[in-house]
Amino acid sequence: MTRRRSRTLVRTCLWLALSLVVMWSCREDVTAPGSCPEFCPTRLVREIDTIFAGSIVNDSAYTGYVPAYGAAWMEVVTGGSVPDSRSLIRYISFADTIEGREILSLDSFQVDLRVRSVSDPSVGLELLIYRLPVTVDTTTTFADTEPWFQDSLLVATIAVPDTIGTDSTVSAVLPLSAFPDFVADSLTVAVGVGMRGVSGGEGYAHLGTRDGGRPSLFSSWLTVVDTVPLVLDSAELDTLDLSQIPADSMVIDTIQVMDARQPDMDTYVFAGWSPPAAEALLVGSAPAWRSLLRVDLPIYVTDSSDISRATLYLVPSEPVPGAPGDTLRLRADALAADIGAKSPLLALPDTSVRGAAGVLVGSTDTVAIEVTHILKSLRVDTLLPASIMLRIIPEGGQSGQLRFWSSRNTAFAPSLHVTFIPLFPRPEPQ
Amino acid sequence: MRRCATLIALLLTVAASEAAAQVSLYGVLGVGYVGRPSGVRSRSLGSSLDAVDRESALNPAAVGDIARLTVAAASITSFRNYTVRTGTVEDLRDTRFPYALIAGVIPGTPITFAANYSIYAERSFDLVTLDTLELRGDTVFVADETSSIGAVADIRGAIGWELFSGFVVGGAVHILTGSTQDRLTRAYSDSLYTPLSHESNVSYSGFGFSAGLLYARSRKLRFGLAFRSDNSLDAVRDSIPARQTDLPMSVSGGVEYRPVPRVMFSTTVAWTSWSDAAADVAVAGTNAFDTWSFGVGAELNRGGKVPVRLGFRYAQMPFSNTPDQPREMDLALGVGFRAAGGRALFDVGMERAMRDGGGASERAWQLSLGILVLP
Repeated sequence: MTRRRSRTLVRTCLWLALSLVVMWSCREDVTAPGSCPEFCPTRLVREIDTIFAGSIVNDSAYTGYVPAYGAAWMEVVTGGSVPDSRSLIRYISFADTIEGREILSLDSFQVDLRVRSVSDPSVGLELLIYRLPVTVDTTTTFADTEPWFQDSLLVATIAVPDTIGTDSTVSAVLPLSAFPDFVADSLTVAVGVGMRGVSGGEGYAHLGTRDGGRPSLFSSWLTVVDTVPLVLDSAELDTLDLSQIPADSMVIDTIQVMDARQPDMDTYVFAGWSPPAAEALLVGSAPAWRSLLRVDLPIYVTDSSDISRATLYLVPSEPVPGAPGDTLRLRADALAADIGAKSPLLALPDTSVRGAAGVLVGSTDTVAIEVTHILKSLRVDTLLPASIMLRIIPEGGQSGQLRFWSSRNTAFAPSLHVTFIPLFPRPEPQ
Repeated sequence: MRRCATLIALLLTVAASEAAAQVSLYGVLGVGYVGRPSGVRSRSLGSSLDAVDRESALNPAAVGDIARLTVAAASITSFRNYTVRTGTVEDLRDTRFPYALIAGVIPGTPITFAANYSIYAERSFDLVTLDTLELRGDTVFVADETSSIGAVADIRGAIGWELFSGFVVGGAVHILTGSTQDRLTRAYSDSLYTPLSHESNVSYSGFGFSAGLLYARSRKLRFGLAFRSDNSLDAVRDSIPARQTDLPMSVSGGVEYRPVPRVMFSTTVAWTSWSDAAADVAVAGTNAFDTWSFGVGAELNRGGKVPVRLGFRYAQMPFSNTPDQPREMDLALGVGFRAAGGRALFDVGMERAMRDGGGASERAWQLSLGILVLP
């Protein structure tokens, strides 16, 4: 009996051990390093890297997208530079009372400018504030402003600090005499902003705007009538007949308050550029230009390959015009539909679908912008147009403009440099 | 029977993970790692019993040994490591379900039948390689991961006919079928290059036939001889014909000898003309060689209760990316158990597989579990 028990126990243990081994061995762990060339299934993967000349066709440029007065930035450039950009700001009119209080006196003004970015401030830059007629508006041209940007109308100078950062505020307090027609102009103020290099240096600044959510402010410092509850000290309590004083008695006082106004119009003007070459396409400046490029790649690239990198090359037709030292941010977008100038940009949640590149003003170097995700999206959604829209970001915020040769210039036409792996014939691991 | 049900449940559990299995590093090459049509008992004997074994799918005439309805299945778990040049990879583990059988006798006739499932070529692997590419004048590091999950299965329908006492002839048709889920991903060290990912489904099909004879000279001595020929293995990737590989013919023979009732010796030799596939696999720079395989084994049955099996197998492998033909040696040990009054047979085998050549050296412990039920 004991022997039979022990055999049963041994069998039970064996089954248990076997079961545990089987259960334990169910875990898979099969990923391992390969070794080329002996055990390297991917050694036949062909990565092709080719520049497709003539891959951009039917390209066009359009303008009118964002005017200077609707841009997120305003540009000011040191006078004497090419271009000489000036900002024009007209503020909302002040009221003759403030919160129902009587204005006793107008003391001074203050202007606050939001500087989004600035060129190297160490060269010594100054922002110049000019008094402008309140008739200035969005139709004002650069030539119209010539009489206004004179020393006689200069009301303040703001030195740009060397330590200024992005999105900073600089301010200047102005005397009443800076705007002698303030009352005659129905309590309305307009200013112009220019820039000057202290030692003759050149530079630029991008100022915030109402449309960009960073407006400049114009404030007036006022003395107004104020009333405060009557408070008596202990000596007065001893000497006065309290029965003669009503319980809710107030006393009249004066205080100084600030009344700020945002612009009702802010824009900038610049001298303009020479006409572009006949075969050139334009991107940027204000009103903003866009260029629409149609892609004509072989179908085995767009449909039957995995694109790992695609770069669009643009050859400038002339040195990139713009504020000295400035950089234009070129953006390439895919299109939801290709209907020409009004083609809607592809609104994808993944912003990586857009390529971007910096274009240095004055450069004649070939511009390279990555458009990998745009071309990859063509295989994912075959209904998307094979088109690319180029624009400068923020649109209309800079006078600078990229001018590059179109496909009509066969020697310097835009081209695509594509690195891809063909799907067919597929590499067979054998 | 309860233990029988438990083991069947375990086998099914193991079978569920079969899809992700990887048998050998050599599965990367050619049509894959060529499977063995052996049951667990024969595996424990170094595949030396294949030529005369009713459970193995090598000789259709061996089906004539079936006396009643029989159902069998097996699982194999491998624990592997390998060395390529100076790099060693350890602790690889996988489980697969390489074998199943249903067989029986057509009542009132001397004809027996069998339907087998076995692995013809295992194509499961998941390899990561690092490389450098010269792209646009720069050196770019790339990391590739290539995985293939699946296998080519050999579905065999066989019949055996006992022409006269002790002499059985058999024939079988083989349908090769299966698919793999292939995936290739490539990541670049330069973020300007976007990672790539290819996924595709590859289905395989092929056809073959085999014939054999089994001769039992006495209760002590049996001979088996088999011939097999397959046409080609057609691969279709995502509904597009991808490639065609000529498949080999093979000739095999074996002997089972029982000098005394409790002792059995067996041997099987096979030759396969895998060089027929040379032109097709050469496209990928792979060499194909004819192969010889040889197995010997012994079974000791102590009182007919728990037979103990020992086996040795040597086999050449057909594919290599170098001129060096790989080969495999297996040392096997196994036991068998009876349950349910002899209506269920459990076989357990442990093999030490040593594969060398073609630029690599691979070692594996392989645990085989088999069940054979006579309902």
